[in-house]
Amino acid sequence: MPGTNLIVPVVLWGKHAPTHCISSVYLSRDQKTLVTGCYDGQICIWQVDPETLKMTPRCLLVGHTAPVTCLSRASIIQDNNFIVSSSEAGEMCTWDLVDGKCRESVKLSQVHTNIQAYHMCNSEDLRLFCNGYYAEILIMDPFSLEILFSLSSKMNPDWISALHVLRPSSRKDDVVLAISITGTVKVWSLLGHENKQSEPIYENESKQIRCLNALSLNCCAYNQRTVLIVCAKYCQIYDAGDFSVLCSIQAPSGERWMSGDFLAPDRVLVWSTEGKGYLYKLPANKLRGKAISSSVPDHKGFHGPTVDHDSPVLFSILAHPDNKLLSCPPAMRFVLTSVGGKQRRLLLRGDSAGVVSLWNVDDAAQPQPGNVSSHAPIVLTSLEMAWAEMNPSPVGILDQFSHPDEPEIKLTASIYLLAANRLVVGRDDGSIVIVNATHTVQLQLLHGSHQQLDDWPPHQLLLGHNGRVNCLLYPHHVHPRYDKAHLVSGGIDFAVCLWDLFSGALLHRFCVHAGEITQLIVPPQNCSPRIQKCICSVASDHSVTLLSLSERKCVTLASRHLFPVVTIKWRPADDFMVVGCSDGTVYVWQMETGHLDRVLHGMIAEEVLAACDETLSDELGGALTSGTDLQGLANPAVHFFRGLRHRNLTAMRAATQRGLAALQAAERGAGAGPLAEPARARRAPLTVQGFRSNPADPESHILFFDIEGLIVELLSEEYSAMSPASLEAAGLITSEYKKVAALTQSASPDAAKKISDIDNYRTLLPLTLSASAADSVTAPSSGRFDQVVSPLIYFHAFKKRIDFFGRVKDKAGDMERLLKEKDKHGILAKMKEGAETMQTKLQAKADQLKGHADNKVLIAFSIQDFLEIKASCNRNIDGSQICGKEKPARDKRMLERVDLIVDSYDIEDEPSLKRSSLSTEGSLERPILTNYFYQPLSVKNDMRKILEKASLPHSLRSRGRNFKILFFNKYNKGIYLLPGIIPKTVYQNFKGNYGKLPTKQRTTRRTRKTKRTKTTRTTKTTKLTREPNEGNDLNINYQLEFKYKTESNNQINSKEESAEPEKLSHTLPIYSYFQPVY
Amino acid sequence: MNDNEKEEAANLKEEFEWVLREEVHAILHQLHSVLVECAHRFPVPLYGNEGQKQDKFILTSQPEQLKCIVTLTGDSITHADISFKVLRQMHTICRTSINQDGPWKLQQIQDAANHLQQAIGYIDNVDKHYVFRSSEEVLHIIQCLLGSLQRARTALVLPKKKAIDELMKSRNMKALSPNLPEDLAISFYIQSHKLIFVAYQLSSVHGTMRIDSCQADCAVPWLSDVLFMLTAALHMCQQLKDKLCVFSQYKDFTVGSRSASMILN
Repeated sequence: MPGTNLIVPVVLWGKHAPTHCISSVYLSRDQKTLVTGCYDGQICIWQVDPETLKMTPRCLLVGHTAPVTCLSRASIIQDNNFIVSSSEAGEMCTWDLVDGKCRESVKLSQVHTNIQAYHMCNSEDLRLFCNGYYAEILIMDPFSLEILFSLSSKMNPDWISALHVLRPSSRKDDVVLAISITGTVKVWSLLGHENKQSEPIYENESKQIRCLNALSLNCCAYNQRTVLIVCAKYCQIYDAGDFSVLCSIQAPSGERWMSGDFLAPDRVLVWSTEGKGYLYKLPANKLRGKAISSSVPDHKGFHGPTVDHDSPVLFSILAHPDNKLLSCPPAMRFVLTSVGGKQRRLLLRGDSAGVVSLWNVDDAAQPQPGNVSSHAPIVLTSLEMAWAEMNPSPVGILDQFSHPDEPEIKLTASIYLLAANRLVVGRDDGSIVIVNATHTVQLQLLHGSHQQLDDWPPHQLLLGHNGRVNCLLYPHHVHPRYDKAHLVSGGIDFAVCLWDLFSGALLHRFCVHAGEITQLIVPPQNCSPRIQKCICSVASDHSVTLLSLSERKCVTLASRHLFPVVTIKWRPADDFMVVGCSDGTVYVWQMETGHLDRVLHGMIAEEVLAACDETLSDELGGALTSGTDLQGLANPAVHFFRGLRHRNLTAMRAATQRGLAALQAAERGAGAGPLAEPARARRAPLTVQGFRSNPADPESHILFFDIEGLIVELLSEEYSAMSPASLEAAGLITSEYKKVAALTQSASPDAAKKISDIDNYRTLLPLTLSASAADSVTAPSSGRFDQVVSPLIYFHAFKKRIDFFGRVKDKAGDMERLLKEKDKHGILAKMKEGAETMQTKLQAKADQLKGHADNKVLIAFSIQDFLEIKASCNRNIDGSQICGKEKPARDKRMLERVDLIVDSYDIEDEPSLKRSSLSTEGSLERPILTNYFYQPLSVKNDMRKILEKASLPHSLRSRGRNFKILFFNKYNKGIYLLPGIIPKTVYQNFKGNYGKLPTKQRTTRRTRKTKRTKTTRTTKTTKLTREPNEGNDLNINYQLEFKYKTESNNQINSKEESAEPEKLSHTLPIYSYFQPVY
Repeated sequence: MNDNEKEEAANLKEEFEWVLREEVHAILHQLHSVLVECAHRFPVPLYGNEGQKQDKFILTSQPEQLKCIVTLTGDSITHADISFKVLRQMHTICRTSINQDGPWKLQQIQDAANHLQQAIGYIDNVDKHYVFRSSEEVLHIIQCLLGSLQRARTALVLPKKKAIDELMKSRNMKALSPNLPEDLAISFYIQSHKLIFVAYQLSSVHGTMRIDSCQADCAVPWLSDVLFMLTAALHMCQQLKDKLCVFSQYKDFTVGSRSASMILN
């Protein structure tokens, strides 16, 4: 199965901006990019206008699982758009700011608290000087994220709490000045040839000073004889020569200092936990150094007792006008920028409410005699403000339910039923909405007459929960042993509800937990038969239960956990459920008996958890092996007796069986593996995934459009929509090619040149391009068609070609029957070729595709196509059909409505779908419905952190590579890929040609739908009924006819074959329960 | 919303304010005393604790494989007499020692102590008379506390894994006198309440590197106290967090908002 694929995520953000509690900030030197990291681990990139400093959010980088503690630039080159981020979990990433891709990531055992990027002598680019929860200073390469070397201490080695790297004016080497948390100041001097192999590098000097837990240390850039050290309660100016205190500033009452820097030889800026900046003038007679004009060396006031007029004077305060309550100290940073040769000094702040503010320090830097001036920030913005500015506001996936005059009901959980194309969404008020995914997506993204319809698309409503629905599970998707009709939901009302999807009835309500339900998962398939019918639910009271869906009762209640459950693993052969808690404790439960077998801590706990993965992958990898386990867990005899002691029949049986299996191990072939999972070979063109950055947020939704799946779908639609006439017409390619080429080449020499450039690349491409040229569209000459774009263009052009030749046929009217017959096969071959090229090209160039605005347009258009065709030409894919809807007019502006978008990301780094990966059902991740999202547990060990933030599906979080989400809005021009970048001509070209596709006009008519409400005790089901439409039969006829033709053709390619089941599913509804009720 | 629900909401609200006003400070105070007590068990200067305590331990493994007499001063092994049998040559006994000049530093102890100090710092930062106005504020502090305590505990419970050549090159190894031959290495580390001594022997069998090891351990009394108190503190934190999370469903609960909107579903 191919591991690479091009997937375009489109995000429907909804009305609410994601929570962004800022933990670190960074502004690029050219004032063009602002980066904010948050406590939930996301990083937001903002586009900044260097002139006006207007900030617009551009994309959200998802990848860290813990608060982002440090952000740093990666290169000295101004245009080099890379940053390095580091999180509290020890993860480090290098991000490309242009396309948002994670270039490198690494997880270290050392956690950094501070990173200074510094250009060392004898090195080409920046080095990262890191300090944190370890006793060394690590010097890292920002692009490879390797530790180049480290600096150690001889005297009182301890954690380094702050460091500053500088090159003293008189010297050629670099000096690292650092202070340990116990207050030892150390100095290293570096010559630039240090490396990992060299002997440990010890400090050249060290001195103990009275300064515990320093927060920052800065040398004065203007007068290198003074050093500012900031501690929470006071900040002090030291003499760099002998480290004697020159003067000290107490923190204002109720506030603590965070950090500070020098503005001038005698002026400092320090900022506090309340998010305020304070500017102080230092007493000149206390300072030393050449830059202090008033001071004489060995001034007698140096070490004298501090008298009043010798203390620093506060002259300016940088504060927010409204002192809003912050839930945690904001992240602040002093930045020097230069735009057009003009230097600026700015104080940057990002707070817990996600508000970014910026002060111009230069404005405030001149002391006004006599009074303290207060300054407001020059820029104030936040994600929420960006959201509010957008008009229309960002769409949500169920916007049809929200009315402006009613309070909005937040969406809190969602799953997508792939085969049925249904989206199930749980909401804040306890209701669960089931709706056709394509319809609702189309409604949000495309303009058209369907938006005028009331109550469209039809939906089902399940009412039963009292309060927020926290999680949803459709077990049948995870494993076919479960009933097709069963849907399970867990809510804030401590209840797990079992629903019948056919009737919408509430089948059972499990009230076992004593806390809100947080997760629902499916046990692995090789459990005992009883457990196989169970699902596993986790609640906020740290309890885990196995609920039998067939018996309608709780089989096991595991509720002695003191800490939140973060991982659940299985040892089905031993009948064990292994529950890992946030404190590292592991509880081993017997599933059948509910007996707590043992509680493990520390190393053993880790090993047992790891062993679960091993056995699982062993078992799935082929024959059941024995004796691979640690701790004698799998020693059959031991296990047998344990089972005997606890009267656990299943365990005993399992032990016996495994004992026998061990004896016969040699005979056991590879065929003894577990049953195959349901085939997921067919790629789904669209999948929908819930997303949120913070557990408290309402859900946004990401639509993953699989371009390959989409093209397959579109092509198959295209075939079925073509009349025999147009097929024949299209078949004339080769004979007509030269004529057309001759015509167009003479018509537009400029285009012809381009054509010849691309000519050797794709035989059919020139034709399509010349077709565009004939339409007097200058697409090729815009010079934007590179090889990467071509496959997609080709795809569109393919349609045009049919169109074009249809017209040619009408005009010329001199087609020969013989040729037609011949070329019918020709076009199929071409189609095949085209599809294959698309596939290979897309896969090969997936990387490069990103960031190309043109491609996005094209992709967007194929998506638009897909949505339309799926929604309007769709025959019975889910048993329902849009009635009475004409094919919507073609001038939809999808791009305008995709408010916040879209970028492709590839899954190339994802391990290819292995069998072992199917075992992930056991972990606490969300049920994820397509093959792309299965991932082996072993890929990431930091499941815990991920799961603590259970808001985000595991699949997204723990991807080997991180991904990003772009913000995009037409009305917010200037943010990103807007008409300036998109060649308008391309846009129009495709737009213009869309309407002329030889699709059949369907004579469907929308009939009045009637609503029938059936009310059971706690359930209300709404069903919408429709009548069959007349066009349907006709379509099927055509389809059959076409199928007959293609079947008679030996040249049907693999692409075609893979599309074949699709067609069958059109004619035979899979999910009869979604059939409209007449 | 009927009267009962309204009343319940009002009561919850009152309870929430009580938790923020009284309970949080009480629990933080209690936590503080537990953590300070824990800090005092550490043999290193930490939070008003001056101690450079000294302990002597004897580590042996059963069939007289290895024997080691250790003096632990603070976070370092300041003196040790080590002898162990080399596996392949049955009668060779390898001897070495650690002395005052090159102590073997147990970084785990320092890490745990620093994390603990950080945790105490978070509580110290909260003024006793400070009035919390939202649960987010408290949750942020608890989250920081939980993080620090967890890291402190993990530092002791889960020793970091090191590559053998990293160990060979380490400063601790170089301080041994006399130096060990190139195919031998020793290591001291802490795992839970135990001090563990391991001797590694590298051998090359058919071109592949093989590592044999034998180990001995002994219980360090103060470590079990420290771990117990860290676990207790973690549990207290978690309980406070759970308590506050109960109110999290009422997002518009902030102090002083009682008369204002109370939208409950």
